[in-house]
Amino acid sequence: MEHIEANQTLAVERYLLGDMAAAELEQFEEHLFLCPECAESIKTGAVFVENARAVCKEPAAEAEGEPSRRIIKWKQPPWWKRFRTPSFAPALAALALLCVAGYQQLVVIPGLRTQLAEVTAPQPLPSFALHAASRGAQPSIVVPADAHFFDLYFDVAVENPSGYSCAILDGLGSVRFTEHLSLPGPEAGGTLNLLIGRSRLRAGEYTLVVSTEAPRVLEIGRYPFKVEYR
Amino acid sequence: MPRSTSGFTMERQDFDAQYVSRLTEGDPSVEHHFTVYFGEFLNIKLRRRGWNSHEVEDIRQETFLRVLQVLRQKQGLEHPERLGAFVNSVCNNIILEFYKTRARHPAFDPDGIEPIDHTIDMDGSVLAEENKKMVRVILGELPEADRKLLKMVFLEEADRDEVCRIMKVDRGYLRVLLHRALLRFKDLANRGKQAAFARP
Repeated sequence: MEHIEANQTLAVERYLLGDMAAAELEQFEEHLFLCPECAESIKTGAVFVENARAVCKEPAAEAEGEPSRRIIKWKQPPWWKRFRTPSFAPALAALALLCVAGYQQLVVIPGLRTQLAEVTAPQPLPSFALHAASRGAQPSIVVPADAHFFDLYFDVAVENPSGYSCAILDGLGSVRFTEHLSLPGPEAGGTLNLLIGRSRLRAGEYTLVVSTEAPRVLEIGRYPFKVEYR
Repeated sequence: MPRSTSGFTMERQDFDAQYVSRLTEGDPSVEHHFTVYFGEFLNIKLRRRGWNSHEVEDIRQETFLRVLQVLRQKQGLEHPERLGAFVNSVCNNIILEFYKTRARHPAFDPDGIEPIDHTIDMDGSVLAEENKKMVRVILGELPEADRKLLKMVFLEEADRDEVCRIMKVDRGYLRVLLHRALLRFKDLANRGKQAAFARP
């Protein structure tokens, strides 16, 4: 084997990699012992290979400040980052769903059942008559503290077949809520009843404004009152 | 003792009639050069062929002994410039003898536990550490895939074809990759040597 041929065929690299057939190996080794350039290359290559083996065997976590090691080094991520891998997504979603369902089953639904039982249980209904606004003192209605509802009833002077709109205004004149009431039957004698949940009205001063409904809207009465809970 | 341009090995001298003559006469400095210079080649050759460290050392010693015996019996070589080829052929003969010994004595287990080979580190731990640093730099400069490829080839001793198939490269790519790494290694070594000379 000639040096040019050895160069062109990367014989040194093939020798170090074990890429030579037996016959070619014999020829190259003979050349190697005679050619100073190939001899130099093969010695350098052997040193590189031996040191590369040694470097690759080294523990990764050493010697900060050496760029090559920083690249090779594998650093264990914090435990919480493991949950960011996609494989954990379905498990985490299932866990979250389980937590929500458990909370609803153990806390929310029993609470709602209790409230429903309390509300639907037979109970006294406090009723209070409202009178149209007058120059006298504002009437107070005192609702028992344990009552869930109370009833307001009042008379209207104008009969409207389509019913009535009842708006509750607070002390500042803002509408708290509006309800539709149908025309009362003859047995009611023109008296309207408005059932109010106590949670909808805090203690304070209010005015009930009754109007006819479309097509011809007309205020037909104002009933101021003050709510207290005792 | 003279060093090569790469800073790794014993410098090659001209193997002429004078060199062979001094070797034949037993000149200690020439004998030392001869054993170190060719010792490196024999080490590479024998390791490349899978002999373990003890066997490498035995074959090397036997090779040197026989070469010197022949030189002294014949009072030199007819073609002193071919001293290297002569050493290689003597070594090949001894390898054949060792193969026969293996065949006759199966207990002579070639697959036995291989002790760590320190023979490549002939210049001591300081030079070895410098070499490692250079190798780390070179590996660090390589793309991740190339670094992994070299690691699989040199460290894991995996089948080359299998490695190439896994890494989706051909054998030619592997050779060129090693070729470039070696060029870079020589370049770094030369720079290190120049820097060492530049120091006050």
